[in-house]
Amino acid sequence: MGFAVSGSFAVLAVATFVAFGMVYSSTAFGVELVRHAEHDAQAGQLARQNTAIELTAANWTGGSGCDSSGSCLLVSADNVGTTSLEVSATDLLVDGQFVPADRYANATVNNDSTTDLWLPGETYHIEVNASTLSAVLGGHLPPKRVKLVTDHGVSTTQAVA
Amino acid sequence: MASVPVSHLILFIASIIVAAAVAGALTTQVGRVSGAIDDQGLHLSQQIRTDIAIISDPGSAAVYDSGSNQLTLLVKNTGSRTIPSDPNQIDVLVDGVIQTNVTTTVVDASAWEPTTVLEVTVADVPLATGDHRVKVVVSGDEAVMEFRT
Repeated sequence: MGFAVSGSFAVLAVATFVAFGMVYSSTAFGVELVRHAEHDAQAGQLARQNTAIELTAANWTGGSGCDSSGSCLLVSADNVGTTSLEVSATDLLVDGQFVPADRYANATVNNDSTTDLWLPGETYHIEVNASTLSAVLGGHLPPKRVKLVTDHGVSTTQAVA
Repeated sequence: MASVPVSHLILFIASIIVAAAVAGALTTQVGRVSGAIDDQGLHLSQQIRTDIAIISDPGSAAVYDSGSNQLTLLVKNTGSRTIPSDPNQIDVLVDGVIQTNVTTTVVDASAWEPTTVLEVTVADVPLATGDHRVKVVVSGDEAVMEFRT
């Protein structure tokens, strides 16, 4: 009887050890996933709180930078927050319509068209030709409102002058 | 007297078989529970990583077309994971009524990755003149916008 009890106890002990190992590894994996996700979410929330932009100009104008139609939309905005923003992740809406970045005639940060960073204190300048806007807005020119949205969802709106 | 060791052997084998059966059942059930914990952890982390914002300009006329009874929303992925853009996984409620005629298009990428924008179009939504409220729900996260027709 002594062998039978200790033998079956050994089998159950090994099974319990294996089961504990399975639960521990999956729980640790799940907790780690959630912890990383919460860390990223908190970082995003902090970045959102520290993000602020200000539209300094939204003008419908004619000029040398415009296409043959003679008019274009010039939008300027300052990064007045404390986070570095991405130009490629910043969206422009004109009269509520999304204008894809590849259709801008010109997009610069402090006169630099090669950078993707829009750092605190810098000015982002966008120029959209009349022909492009006409296609986006279905011919409804001139535009009335512009909205600029950053990568964190912080936005600002202004009437076109 | 030889029957005592034989009966001990039989009891030993029986107890080992019972213990093995219990051990097998235990590890199988615990394996299922740990699989469920894995899935739950993954699901929870995806929910936490999901964050959306409706960036449509409610002050413009682009939100609602009264001629075609069509509502168009621009929804930005402000989270940290790629969200499925399948309309079946996106719930749109207009004035508290869930909409079924929903189509989606990612306007600036091939998938609804972080920082990209999804255009959500809801067809056949007759709205009376006045104030309205639209809610978009994706993977447990939601965004609300109010507008006027």
